[in-house]
Amino acid sequence: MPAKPDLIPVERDKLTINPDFDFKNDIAARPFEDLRTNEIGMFKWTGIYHQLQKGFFMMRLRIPGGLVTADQMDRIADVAAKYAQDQICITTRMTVQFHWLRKEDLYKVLEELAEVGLDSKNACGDVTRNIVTCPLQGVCPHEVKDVRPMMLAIANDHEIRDEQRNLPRKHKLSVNGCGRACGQTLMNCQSWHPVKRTRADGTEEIGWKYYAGGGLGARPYMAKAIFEWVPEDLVLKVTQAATEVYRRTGNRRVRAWARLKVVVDEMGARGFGEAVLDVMRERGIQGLDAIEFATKPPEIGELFTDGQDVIPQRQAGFNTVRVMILRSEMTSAHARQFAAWARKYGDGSLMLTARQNIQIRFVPDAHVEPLRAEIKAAGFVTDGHERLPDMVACVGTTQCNLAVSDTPNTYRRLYDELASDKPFWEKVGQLRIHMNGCPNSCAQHWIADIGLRGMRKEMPTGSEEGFTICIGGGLSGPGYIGQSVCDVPASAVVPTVRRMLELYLEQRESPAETFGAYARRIGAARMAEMLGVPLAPPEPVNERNLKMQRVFDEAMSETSPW
Amino acid sequence: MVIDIEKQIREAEWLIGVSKFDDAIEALRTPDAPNDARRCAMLAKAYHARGDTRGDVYSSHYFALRAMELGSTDAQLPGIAGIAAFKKERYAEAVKWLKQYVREESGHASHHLLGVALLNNGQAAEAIPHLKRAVELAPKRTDYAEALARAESAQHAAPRTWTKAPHGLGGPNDIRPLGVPTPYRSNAVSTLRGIGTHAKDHYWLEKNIPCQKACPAGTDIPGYLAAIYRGDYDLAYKINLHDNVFPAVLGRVCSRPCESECRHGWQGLGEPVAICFSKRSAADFKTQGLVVMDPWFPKTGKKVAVVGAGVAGLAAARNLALMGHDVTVYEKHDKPGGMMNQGIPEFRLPRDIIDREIEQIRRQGVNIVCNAPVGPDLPLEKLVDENDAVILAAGTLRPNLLNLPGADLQGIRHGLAFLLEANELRKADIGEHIVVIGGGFTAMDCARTAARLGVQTVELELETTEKGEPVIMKPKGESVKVLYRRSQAEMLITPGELEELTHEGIPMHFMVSPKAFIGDASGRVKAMRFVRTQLSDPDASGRRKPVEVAGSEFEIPADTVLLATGQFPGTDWIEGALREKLVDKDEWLLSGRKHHTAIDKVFVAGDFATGASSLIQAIAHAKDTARHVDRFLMGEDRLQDVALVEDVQQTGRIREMDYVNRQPMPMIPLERRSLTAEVETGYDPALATDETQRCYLCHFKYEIDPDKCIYCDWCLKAKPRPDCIVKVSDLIYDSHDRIVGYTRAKSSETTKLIWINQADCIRCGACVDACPVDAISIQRVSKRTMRAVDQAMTVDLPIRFEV
Ligand SMILES: Cc1cc2nc3c(=O)[nH]c(=O)nc-3n(C[C@H](O)[C@H](O)[C@H](O)COP(=O)(O)OP(=O)(O)OC[C@H]3O[C@@H](n4cnc5c(N)ncnc54)[C@H](O)[C@@H]3O)c2cc1C
Ligand code: SF4
Ligand code: SF4
Ligand code: SF4
Ligand code: SF4
Ligand code: SF4
Repeated sequence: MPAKPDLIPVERDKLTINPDFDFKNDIAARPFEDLRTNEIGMFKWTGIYHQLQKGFFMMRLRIPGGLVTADQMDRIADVAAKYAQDQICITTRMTVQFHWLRKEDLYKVLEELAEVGLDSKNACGDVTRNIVTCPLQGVCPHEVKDVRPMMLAIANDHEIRDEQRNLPRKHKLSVNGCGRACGQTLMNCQSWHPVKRTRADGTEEIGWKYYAGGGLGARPYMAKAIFEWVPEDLVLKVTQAATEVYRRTGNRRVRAWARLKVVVDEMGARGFGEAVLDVMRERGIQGLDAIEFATKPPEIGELFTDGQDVIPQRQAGFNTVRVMILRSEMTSAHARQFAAWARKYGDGSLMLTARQNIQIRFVPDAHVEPLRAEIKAAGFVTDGHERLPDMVACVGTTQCNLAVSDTPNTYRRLYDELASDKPFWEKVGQLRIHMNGCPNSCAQHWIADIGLRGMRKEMPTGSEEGFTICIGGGLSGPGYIGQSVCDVPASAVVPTVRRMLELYLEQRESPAETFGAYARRIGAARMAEMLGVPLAPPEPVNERNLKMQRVFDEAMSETSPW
Repeated sequence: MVIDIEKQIREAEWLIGVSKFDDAIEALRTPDAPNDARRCAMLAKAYHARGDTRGDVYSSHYFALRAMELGSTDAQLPGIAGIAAFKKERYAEAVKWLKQYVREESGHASHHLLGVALLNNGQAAEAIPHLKRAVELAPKRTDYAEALARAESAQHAAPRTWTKAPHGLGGPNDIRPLGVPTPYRSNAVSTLRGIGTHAKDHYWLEKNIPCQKACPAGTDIPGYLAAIYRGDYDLAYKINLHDNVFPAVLGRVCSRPCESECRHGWQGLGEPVAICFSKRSAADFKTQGLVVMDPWFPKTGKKVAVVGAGVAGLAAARNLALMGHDVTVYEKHDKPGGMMNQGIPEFRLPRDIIDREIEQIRRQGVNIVCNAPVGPDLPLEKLVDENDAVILAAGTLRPNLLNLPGADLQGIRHGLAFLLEANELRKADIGEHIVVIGGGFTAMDCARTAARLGVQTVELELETTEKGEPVIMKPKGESVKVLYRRSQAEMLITPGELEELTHEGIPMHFMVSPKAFIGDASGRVKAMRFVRTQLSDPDASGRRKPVEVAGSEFEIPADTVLLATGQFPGTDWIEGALREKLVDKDEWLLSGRKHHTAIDKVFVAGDFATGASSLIQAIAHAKDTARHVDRFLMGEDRLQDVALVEDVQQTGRIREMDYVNRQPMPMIPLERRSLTAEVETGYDPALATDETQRCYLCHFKYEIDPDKCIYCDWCLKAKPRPDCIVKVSDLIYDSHDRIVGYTRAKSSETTKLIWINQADCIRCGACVDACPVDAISIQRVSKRTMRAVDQAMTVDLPIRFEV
């Protein structure tokens, strides 16, 4: 075929536009209209997106493993106050993002963050994104060994971070403390956790288990176990080689099929492992015989944490104190408050978690109660971790370009109506509700006990915002992808969720059967049957809003002075 | 840096006043981040005023709250926050802010709004005073009265349930049930899968496969181009054979009206697919020898006679044979083929190609009798008596002679006679200096043939339109007037022929009109006199006529003049009583272009009915005649045109194929050109693949399932064409439920459908790849002819039932 393989536009941009922009002398100086869409697209390589509101930008930071110092947190607070309308958002990849940034301030934000050792390089774009770990990394009693050095070695590896900046699509890594689900092993492109085994002579050795090919997005895949055993000194090399395999083989034509998950799915676990080893051989890496292929599908343990707000660390006498950040949004004042608590009561560090919450670490036993008291007094929620109140939501139509539904609004409704009913959610027990404004799965609805995915529902006139409700997802065992039960307009989310939980309470085999286990037992189809046809509101909201527009306009023109 | 906030605010206020919201926002954030109460308040107002697009409600809400937090006392802010909360259905919050906003002395809208917020928040009792106040202040507002009534009865409207369509269209991997009607009026065709006979199905085919619509014979072009691309030449040939009867012939000399309509040639999309050249490769590379089709119906015992074995007569005969009738074709010439043999020169159309495709027709059961002129020895009356039906397909053999001074000089010949002679004898009685007059097929062929006979000069005289294209004198059946056709689409030569003529060094004179033949002493023509013409100013109908330029007469020396000024049906062989019923005084048929005549049994096909046209038009006309005849013989419509709807997962195309250039036709060099050497040598298989991959395959239908679509716009972001996917508020239907237009939605609120506008779709598949919920299906919709009796049998589809 003589067809000249024509690069798709993004691929062309990646080859022709240098992602390291001069935000100070170039970008800040040019009028917004002068910025080409392609250029703005390449801002992502510096963690910058154009947000839904024209002319405002979002910036996401790179915080490997989610750990920040109190000083860094203070600086984040300063930046938010000065440039980001006082808004700080914790993301599901253990980092923070700012909104409302002006193009003229981008370089200032970058400079001020750099002073405290923070950056945003590769926070977005077709690169290896911020590496995640388990939230109790370094302090968890179950951690096989401290994985932070390995996590940092990968995160800051020159090849992975600085050279592999033109991958087919985004590339997500996790490094976990053990074989439990806390660090989201099964939904990352590549994942590691250490394993301990006993040699023939009775001594113990530590190596690493390797997974690849997980990923959510619009079409979710659970990772496959690739290597059962990789010696410690080859972990970085395997990661590099796998990244190279991805660079070479990922689909660069169809963005929807470009993730590593598709490569691994097509090659199979064994095939992908072989491809990785091939690259390693090509690179002359020795000692590959020591690598053992995995022979069984993954079997990930349950989450370790289960509702506690204080978790005793493996360092005797120290604790990690967990605080929920509702809708993942903080103000600068909040952030400064956390920094102060970390200094006063902990070791001066803070962990940003994938559930969009904050942990204060190394709190000595004696400080726990005073800290708790302060947190309560400041109005933060500490109740309900891994329970109904601990919901994860993306920004949705409020600020995201891709969104179809207003997730924060739905979050509020669910929170207002259900989180206030403590006896109810305590009875329900472990429950993770995640909600996305679109199929992109930023808020990981596929792996939630109850996942909401934004949609619009066609109505006789216009279309109405709504959600597809999925149940039964989870990251333990072999991994479970949520199954869709029904589509409901946004206004029907609360009653539908409540009804599902009531059904669960009526029908669970014992309190030991979690909602997730129950949902997988009965299946989405049965759940849909029991729910019946959901009630729709008498009039689609947007139609109603449309009709009310005249009233809105007139009412605004009737302003009387205060 | 001192920032004059006062000035910024004034500027923003003004910009909001003139609806320049983006500019207002820009003004407020220049030159620094707006972190003060006043600018945040203005931002809230700007976003509020901008409307309710996604994000605006949120932003107005966010900035209103932030401004109030920062100490703003702007009286509008609670109103903005309240309306945002109301829009988001957070009525408790809406009530909180609106209570701050609405005062006793506020206007009707404010009271109404607060009332509705209270009502929606389940506080009907509290709502009533506000709703009442609104009604008092504005008694004419029906919406106010309604709200009050609602609050008073405190009754919620009956809860509505929604029902899902029993079978949606689904996505690319779904298999749709067979024979089930599509659920929505907005669906492009009438059936989920299987056979569609609804008006909207035929309409879809016409609107979406422009080449097939333009091919007079309705050939399944995407079907066969896809087959050629796959290397399945046998199938490609069969598809052609079914529709156009002479694939190898038409692959060479079809006038190809299809190509000018090809989607690939539309504005901005490049050049049309070389449909005709590709078709030829299917004939060149097919592996079967002669292809004989399965009969469509068993023998009927009915006898049909056909007069004339041109393409029309033969096509009608073949189809009638397939329908089970006994057909005999009577041809006056010693060879069948009509103008294929007698007119078109060998260097354009090798004779073995014609012979083979005619042999196929014989094998199909058609009896062809040559040297059998219908006329005095074999009267038409006899045929009519002895057969159940007769088809007249005698072509256009009567030349249009120019009635000019000197018309009876020697050396003036009609082009057709010249071509016949040259084609038969491979030589012709011709002089040294030739002038050809005319602008159609015959003129071109006369000139090129004469050039090959070794004459010294050949000149071609044409009349042209504004654009300098030749026009052809094409007499119309009913009135025998000479008309000047003007558009290129109606120019009756094969595209490329004109270029070849120039290439072969034959000069052409445009814008001239013949005035007289000039003879020498011996009575032989020695020159031809012309006058130049120019186009008049447009007349009432906008037409510009060539008018003579006074004093511009000139002569061109010639010892032979070939008249290619058109030909008409010759009817002199129709005699006796029949002649009266069939033939008009001017020698044309009384029945015009119709397929049937005043005599029940007697039908007409091809150029004999339509006047000189083209092979494919003659064939198409004849196929229709065959169906008329069958209906007459059998008393029913035994065949039916349908749309066959099939599921596919993939089209086999990738977007790169769109960027491949049209492949040129390889030709032999000038020095090797002769009377018999075929000029165009045809694509080799590699070229055929290169060319056919370009076809968009317009028979694929991309359609969004409105039940699955979540309105995420991702497909809109991936689409390559401006209007291939549109947000519509309404589709426009005609009385047959055909979708004839759409109304673009003005906002997300009025978007009723995200709709694929198949007329603008280039079948790239980008939307299917982009859709995160697999809401876009691909189906193949093809035009098929099937037996009416099989229509009910949709259980086991398809090709089997296709005739
Ligand atoms: C020189 C020339 C070149 C052309 N080139 C092209 C081209 O490149 N592409 C294209 O699409 N079209 C071309 N055409 C037009 C095309 O050939 C005609 O439109 C087409 O052949 C019409 O088909 P038909 O069967 O109706 O008539 P014809 O092909 O004319 O067939 C009529 C047949 O009837 C026979 N006949 C007539 N009277 C009697 C009788 N009384 N008894 C028995 N038999 C009789 C004739 O001998 C003839 O065989 C060309 C035409 C000419 C003249
Ligand atoms: S899930 Fe969708 S809507 Fe939500 S932030 Fe991600 S891309 Fe945006
Ligand atoms: S027969 Fe002629 S018009 Fe029809 S498809 Fe072929 S080239 Fe085109
Ligand atoms: S692209 Fe193909 S199917 Fe479409 S009009 Fe052209 S030839 Fe026909
Ligand atoms: S296939 Fe889809 S994206 Fe491509 S042109 Fe058609 S509607 Fe547009
Ligand atoms: S991508 Fe799919 S779901 Fe999204 S708007 Fe298009 S058809 Fe609808």
